[in-house]
Amino acid sequence: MPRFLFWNLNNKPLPQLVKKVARSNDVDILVLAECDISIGQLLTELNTETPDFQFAPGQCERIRVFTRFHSAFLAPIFESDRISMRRLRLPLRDELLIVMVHLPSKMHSSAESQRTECSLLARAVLEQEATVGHKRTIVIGDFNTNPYEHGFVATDGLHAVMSKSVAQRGKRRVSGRDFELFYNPMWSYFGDVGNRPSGTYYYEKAEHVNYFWHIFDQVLLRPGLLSGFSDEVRILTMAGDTPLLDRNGRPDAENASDHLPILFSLDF
Amino acid sequence: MSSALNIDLWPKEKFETDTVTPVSILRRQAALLGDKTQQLVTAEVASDATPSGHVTHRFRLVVPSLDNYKYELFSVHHQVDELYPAYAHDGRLLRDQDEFVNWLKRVLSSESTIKKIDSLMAQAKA
Repeated sequence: MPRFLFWNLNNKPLPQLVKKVARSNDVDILVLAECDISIGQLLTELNTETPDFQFAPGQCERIRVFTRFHSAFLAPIFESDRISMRRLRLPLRDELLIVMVHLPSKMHSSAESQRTECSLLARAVLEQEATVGHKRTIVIGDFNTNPYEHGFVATDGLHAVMSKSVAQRGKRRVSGRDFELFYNPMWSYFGDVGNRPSGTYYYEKAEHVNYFWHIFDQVLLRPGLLSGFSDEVRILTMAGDTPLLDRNGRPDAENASDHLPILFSLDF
Repeated sequence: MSSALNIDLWPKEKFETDTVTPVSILRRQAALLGDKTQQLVTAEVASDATPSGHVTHRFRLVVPSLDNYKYELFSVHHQVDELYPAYAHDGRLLRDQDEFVNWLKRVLSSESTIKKIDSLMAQAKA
């Protein structure tokens, strides 16, 4: 079952950690945001033991994609400064539309702008689904938006819901119009029940309203893919034998990244 | 016949405007690109309106030989019932047509746009 990993590296030079996290988790498609490491250096590191990772080129400079499949199987069809949409066409498997994103940060965008970004992304996804003629779509990346914000939940946004049974309706009719649904498994990862972090990103400020932990790094799936979904997204806290959390249990922004990677498997 | 039917109540003899819609300007520039790239890279403008009353125009480079691959260079939006001010994707405020045209010229002639077109042309030839 192919394994996908997304990690925002916060522009840190972490080629060895990337290799460890990719190799120790047997990753097939590695998607990186804020990656300042040169492609050559990262490929050299990834392929130290076995030369099976390839760079899958694209024009979106904010997203870098490496894969153990032939890179030609992961051709871009639509890109922008912040989005890379690719068709994954593997032999003997149904085609997937993989949408990889790094949306604007809350530091530089208002809540209204972030909502608009989600809405534009949702429309671009619908448009490309019409182009490829299917809805076997996953959206993965750093959205800089939490699952509960309007850009994610609203019908004119990504319309991503926390419940598989709701998502499996496929679409929802509001005010006489139908809106396609996504399933967002990341809702299940808030809080600290179990031995796991409370999100993928930690931010603390002396403000009256502060959530501390955020889940900006997410994966969304169209309902047609749920039968092949492993039902688990792992927020990784280790890269091989190297911890990605500091001694306070927060992302170790000094020695690793301020974001934690997410990993999931999908059969299709 | 009443004299009220013989008078022109309009304030002007003839209405004239130099204002062109942002989407017309964008479409014109999109149409010009193909000839400059031997049709290896063309451009298109996709527009849609939101329920909140905004219309968004997205300017995209298209590579026909790469399965119609599209790269969205930028987008601008304005109110459905007002052409200006328009807002660029980076939040820049474009108060009138002159500001819009000047901004568009800067974007289309920027190093990053030229680099992107060069890169797509090279891939289209490969």
